[in-house]
Amino acid sequence: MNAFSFDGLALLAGVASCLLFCVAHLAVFRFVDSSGVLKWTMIIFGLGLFICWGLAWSLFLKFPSMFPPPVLISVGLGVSLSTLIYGLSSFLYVLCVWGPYESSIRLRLVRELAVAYPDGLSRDELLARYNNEKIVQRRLARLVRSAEIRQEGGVYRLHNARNFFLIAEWVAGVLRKLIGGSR
Amino acid sequence: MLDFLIMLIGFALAVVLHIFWCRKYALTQLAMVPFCVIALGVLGGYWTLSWYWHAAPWCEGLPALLRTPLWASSSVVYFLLIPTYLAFYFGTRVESPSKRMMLLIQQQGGLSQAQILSLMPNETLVIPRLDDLVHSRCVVRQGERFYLTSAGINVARMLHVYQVLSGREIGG
Repeated sequence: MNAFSFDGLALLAGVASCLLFCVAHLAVFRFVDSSGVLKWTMIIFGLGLFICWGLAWSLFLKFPSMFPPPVLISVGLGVSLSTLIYGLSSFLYVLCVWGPYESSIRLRLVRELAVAYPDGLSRDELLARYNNEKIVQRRLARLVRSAEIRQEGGVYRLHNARNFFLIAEWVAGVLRKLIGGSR
Repeated sequence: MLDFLIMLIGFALAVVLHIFWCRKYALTQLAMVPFCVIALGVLGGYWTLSWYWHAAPWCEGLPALLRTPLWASSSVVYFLLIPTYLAFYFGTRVESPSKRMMLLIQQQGGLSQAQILSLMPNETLVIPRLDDLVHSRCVVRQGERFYLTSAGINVARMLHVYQVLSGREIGG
């Protein structure tokens, strides 16, 4: 594959945008507290999308001979391909790298045991350091800040019925019906 | 463009094969490795077909846009779709606490923090995950105490490196 082929340019724009997303994410999130992570992830992803489009368009217009006719449709498809590569790779960075670090209960348990290493912890000692109250409080603060839920007095209610979690649950539900079984 | 379309069809085929596999062999457990094996097998078939049709004389009769080679970016998208599908598949067997909270609030119309805590006790949130860590040998139980194994220590080290890079507080 020639780096300056249609294929190479689409890949280059998508991958470069994703790398920029990861660097921006690491830089910005030094200053974001845990309640603002969802909101700022969407902001940085959106900015990265504009950068991806800009990068893809500028690369493609620099090498117009790489595109088969009709050129405008080719370039549009190339930009779409770059966007798809950027979207999927950024989504996977959030899902598989940053997400588990920020919110995985298992990884937090590993960190707590690492702090106590080599003495270990009993179940009660572990629960004194990290328990359902801390887990729920962090998530409630995050969901309120990202406007997925709202707080009215002491009661939490759904604010946005079309949010990522419920959409993901709908997809998982469809998949669960197809593959059978249960949680 | 034909490369990309055939790749999408190939990925859909891998998903369908995985669904049949799960219905027959894995109703109650995770079957992530079988999907990886199926997906990589289909990818190998796609690469073979891609090489064949780009070398075939009939391909030259197709419109230029259709026969533009997109082998590399199609393969990258395919590799990215594998963990994306597995993330949704994982959600059919395991429920995240955030999702659980959202569903409870949706079902009840509104809940206080105390009500959420009573519906999500340590016995369902924390203890099963501690048992998972013991089962996966990141943690070992000796009597009443839990200790990290060498695998667990390596995981903790990687988390520490990421904490230094990101400058964030401890997660969870």
